[in-house]
Amino acid sequence: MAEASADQITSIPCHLSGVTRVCFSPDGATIFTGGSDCLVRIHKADQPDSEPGFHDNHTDAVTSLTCSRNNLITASEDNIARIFSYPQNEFTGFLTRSSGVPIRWVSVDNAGERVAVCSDDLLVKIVNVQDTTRVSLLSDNNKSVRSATWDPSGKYLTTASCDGKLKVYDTTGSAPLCLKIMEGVIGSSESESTTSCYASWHPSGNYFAVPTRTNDIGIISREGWTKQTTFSHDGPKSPVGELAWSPNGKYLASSSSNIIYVWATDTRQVVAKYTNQEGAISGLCFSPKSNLIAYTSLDGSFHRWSNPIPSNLPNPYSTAKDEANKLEKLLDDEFGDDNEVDMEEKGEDLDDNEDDLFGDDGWIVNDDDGAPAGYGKDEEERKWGSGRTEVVNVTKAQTSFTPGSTEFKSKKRYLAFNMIGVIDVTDQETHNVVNVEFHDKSARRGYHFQDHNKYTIASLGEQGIVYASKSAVDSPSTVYYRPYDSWASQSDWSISLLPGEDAIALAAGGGSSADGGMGSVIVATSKGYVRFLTASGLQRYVWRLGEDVVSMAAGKDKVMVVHREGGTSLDGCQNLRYSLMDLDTFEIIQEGRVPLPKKVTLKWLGFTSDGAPAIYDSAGLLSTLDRHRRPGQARWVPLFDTTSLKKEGRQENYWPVGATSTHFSCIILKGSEREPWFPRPLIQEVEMHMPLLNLDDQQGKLEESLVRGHLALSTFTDSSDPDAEYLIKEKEVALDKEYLQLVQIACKADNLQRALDVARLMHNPGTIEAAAKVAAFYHLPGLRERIVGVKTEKERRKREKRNKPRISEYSHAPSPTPVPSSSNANGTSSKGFTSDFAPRTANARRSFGGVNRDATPVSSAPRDTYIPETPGDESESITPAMENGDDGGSVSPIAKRRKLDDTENEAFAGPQSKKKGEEYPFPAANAAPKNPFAKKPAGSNPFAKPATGSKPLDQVKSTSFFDRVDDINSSGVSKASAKTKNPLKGKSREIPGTGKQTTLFGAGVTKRPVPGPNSMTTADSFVSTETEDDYEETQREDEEEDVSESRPGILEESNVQETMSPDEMEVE
Amino acid sequence: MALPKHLQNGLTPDELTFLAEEETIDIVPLFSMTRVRLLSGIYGPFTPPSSAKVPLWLALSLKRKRKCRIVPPEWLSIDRVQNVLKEERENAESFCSLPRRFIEISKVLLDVAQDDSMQPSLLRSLLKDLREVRQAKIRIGLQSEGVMRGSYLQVTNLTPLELSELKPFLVKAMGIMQSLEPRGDDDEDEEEGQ
Repeated sequence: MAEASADQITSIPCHLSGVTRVCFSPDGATIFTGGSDCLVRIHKADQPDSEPGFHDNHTDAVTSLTCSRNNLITASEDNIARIFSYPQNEFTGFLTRSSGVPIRWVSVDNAGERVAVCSDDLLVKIVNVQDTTRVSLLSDNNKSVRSATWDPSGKYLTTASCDGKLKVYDTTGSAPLCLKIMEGVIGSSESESTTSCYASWHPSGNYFAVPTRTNDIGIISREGWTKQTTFSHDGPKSPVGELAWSPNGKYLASSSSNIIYVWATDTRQVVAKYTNQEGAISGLCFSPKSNLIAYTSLDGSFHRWSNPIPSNLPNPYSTAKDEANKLEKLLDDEFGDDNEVDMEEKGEDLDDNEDDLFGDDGWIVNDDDGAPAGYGKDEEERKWGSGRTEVVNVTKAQTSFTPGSTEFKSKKRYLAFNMIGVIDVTDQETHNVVNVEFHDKSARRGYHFQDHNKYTIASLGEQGIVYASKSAVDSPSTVYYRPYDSWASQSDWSISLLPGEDAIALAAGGGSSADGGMGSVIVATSKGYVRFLTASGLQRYVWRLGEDVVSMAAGKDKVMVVHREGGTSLDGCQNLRYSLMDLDTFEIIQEGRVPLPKKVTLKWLGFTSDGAPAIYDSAGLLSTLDRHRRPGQARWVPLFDTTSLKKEGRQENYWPVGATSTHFSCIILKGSEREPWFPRPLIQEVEMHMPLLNLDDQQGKLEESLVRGHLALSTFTDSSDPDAEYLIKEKEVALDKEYLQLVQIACKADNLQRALDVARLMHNPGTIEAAAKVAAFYHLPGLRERIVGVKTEKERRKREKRNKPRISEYSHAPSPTPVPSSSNANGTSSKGFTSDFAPRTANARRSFGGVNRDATPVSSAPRDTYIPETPGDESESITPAMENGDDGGSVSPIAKRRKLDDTENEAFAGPQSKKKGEEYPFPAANAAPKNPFAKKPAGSNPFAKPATGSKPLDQVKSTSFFDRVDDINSSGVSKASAKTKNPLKGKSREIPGTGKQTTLFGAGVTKRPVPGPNSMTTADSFVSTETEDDYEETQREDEEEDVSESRPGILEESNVQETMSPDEMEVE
Repeated sequence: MALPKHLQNGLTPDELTFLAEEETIDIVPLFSMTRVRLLSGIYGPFTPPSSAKVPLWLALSLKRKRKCRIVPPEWLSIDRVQNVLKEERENAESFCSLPRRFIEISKVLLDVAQDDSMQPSLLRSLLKDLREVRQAKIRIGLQSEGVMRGSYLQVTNLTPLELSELKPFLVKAMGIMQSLEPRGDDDEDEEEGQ
């Protein structure tokens, strides 16, 4: 915060130079100053220009002033403490006198009944104002006492003595009882020192501030009388003298020599400061009713600092209760200046609602119930409190948080706690000690360092840790990145944000170093920017999100940003949205609402070990973003409801750390604890159960496991991970095992329809066969037969679709099918198209090539059931692809995404597909649509020798003549197609495939036509020509076999139309 | 009736501890490694911070090398032990059912991995109490009618360690009691006769 400008200050020289004190009347209307000229001046708070009144009853310098509702009490070096009436401002009498030594301090309690008087002798007197003969004495001091202050309730009295002892007395009994003597907190001083030394109680009465020996301000809690924290600023410090809390406790003003600092209580940061040129500060007060600070300096002048609290911060005087009471107060004001009545009401209000008023400070810790104040058991009520607050407003907006961080508790907190490691922080007052530990000590070595920037947020990534500090008066918010290890020197860096810009969320992204890439750093700031930097500190991108970022988490290649859309709604919704952005290309992969019900807040977000985004909310539900790699397809799926774990009579909280596809890693907190603390608790792994029905029986469990398994499977299927293929296989086998169990359960229960249903869902023909055996075991021949039917059907489908495993994946759930193909089938460029399909070819080959060839003969049988289904499927999958392809030109984001997908696919599958293509010189990607019909293997033409060898199997029946024709034909075809397609990348591979299909077609002539027209009519130009080519070949072959032997293969191109038309006619 | 000589010298506590080290226990490894095949089975993979199940001996060995944190078994939590102790005290007739290698495992864990368990000193004193309560019960049980007649002693829910501790004395005592029991003589005579 910048220095306050001088025009906010109005100064009046009103005393001779020397110690000058100031005090407000509790109603805020009057300011009293007293100085070495034996006068007490009476200023009207709201009329700075009016001539002040005065009391001239003193015979020596006035040393202290205190004002209750009815009385002003002064201390003077003339050994007498005097009482003046207020607001009449008349001298009413002596309070007490000392034995010939100056009285240094008077302080009246909030009730205005008792006054603590300190003088240069060793006694502290507590004198009753109404009856000045009622005096209690504190006589246990060895040195004179400089000050005595009351806590707001009037129960405790804190005294500071010249020998540096701070004492706390309980004054409720007949004789004051010393509760605590604190040594070493305040420094020792002389009684006539011009720098004051006193404790100042926070209006809540939970703690007080004292100037410490180290020239900081210490905060001492009423619980245990221990020092909790300090208010400290960088730069040169001089001893702290005056202290004053704002009436609502949100701010603390302090003076060091001639500088006044105003601190925000919750952040402990300086929000305003002013250097008084006229001399050191000797008196300081907040106005009880307005944004005004009154202070006096040693030169005897009196100053008003209007609006010390910047207008963008909460004001220093009104409390929540006040706001609520505004109406009534306005009404009260109508009845004139009956201040007394007003004050009384006010006082009661304060007493009644003390907790409400000050309970939500949050920054100071209440050790007793183990939770920070304001986060206690009635947190819910407080947040969503019924009654007035809800009527007036509004859902409390969730503040931004860093996943895995905790609040300070007894000077320790976790900055980050995730599956990689833990960062903990210990507050050492002048600096923090940051300690980093990793779970896997063999991979990374922990470290610790002294942190003078006091980092408040941190994110622990795969490659490094990023820290950020909040901005302070003279230092901007800083971001510091430190990689775990690097071959280069000086690989850590730090960068300062713009003035006034604060980092509010951080994320360190990037995969493990084995994958290459160095990771990235994402910083969300209070300006609504999201800044993207690389791990080396290169700034790559800035995104103006404009909304409040609530939290952020980065995975291997993407970052999830959760932000608030506008404000919260009246009914308790947080209105959060998420954006999932790619870290390489900065494309937004997904956007949408975060599914939080009313009154539920987000507690954690991160990525599962499979790379899927996951969130955890305050209701205890863990959700994951399914199909997050598919544009427009992402949706949240509940993974695990921790409330299902809760047992009767045990209160447990779950603090998430991470998640895998099967387990939820969390810290289980007993009792009312909300956050883990020290020593570091063990991470527990809880098995996840999606909230499905019938979870108590075996079948329900299997179903749950299967649904969850399919989630993981779909993540694998979409991933660009080169191991995905293997993982998919593995997962499918695992799922099939569970399906088999389901079949068995269904058989046992005689639920045959279900058994068949389950068998239909299985992935591998082998498992289906096992299911058939299970059926046989239970003597269910009918079922067995049907399952065998399913199997053959499946095998066939597999072969047809082996080029498109993704699509086959969706044959169970047809609706989403279009998207993957749309994202892949990038119609804009032929290259994109082919390369796009290439990976599928490769995949299919690797997994099923052999099997399919073996299985082919069998699969030819139940074609009837199968065929009608396939064409529909095909057309469905293809059509949208084409449409999207057309759109691609105009809608740039989609096109981009496709491109991305393509390159991705290419990168991962390219080499494999090539290799495979050489090994098995057949089916091509674009042959895919045709595969269905290509049941018969008899790899005729394209295969040259071996293929022709196999073909006769089919055609033995016909004639040797056909064979010969076919031979000729095949050679012709291969040449021709090679010619036509060579220019296109990957086409050469396709030719053999088409050849093979041709033969198949040949076998199943009758069925062939159906799909042909469909796909052709829907397909756009490029694709259609390709398919036409294929068809033509097949048709030609058919015709050759069936009809005309005379047609040579070379003619095929010219014959396309001809061959096509008969087909179409056949269809129609 | 007396047991053969070689059975009288039962297992020593050390041997029992050795046997107990075959039990599996959860650890949180501080290193990552794929599965390992050991004679007793396949363990792993070790991927911190996930826990893995390994035999106790492996856990202890890793712990000594500071390569893991041992997750104390659920039955070794303060709450559970307190409950068991309470139950043991209230129920004078019989023993609580404890895990078979309760004493051995708790001892070795407290020796080697006390930094992994919460409040080891409290746990230690609880375990000591528990042991004393059980021993007291055993002593009372030794005066039961069954032992006096030299015929039997109810040892349900006693752990092997307690049994082996009891065995040498009990067997001998039973033998003597039996020889003192008139009907026992008859039985022996009969047996000898057979």
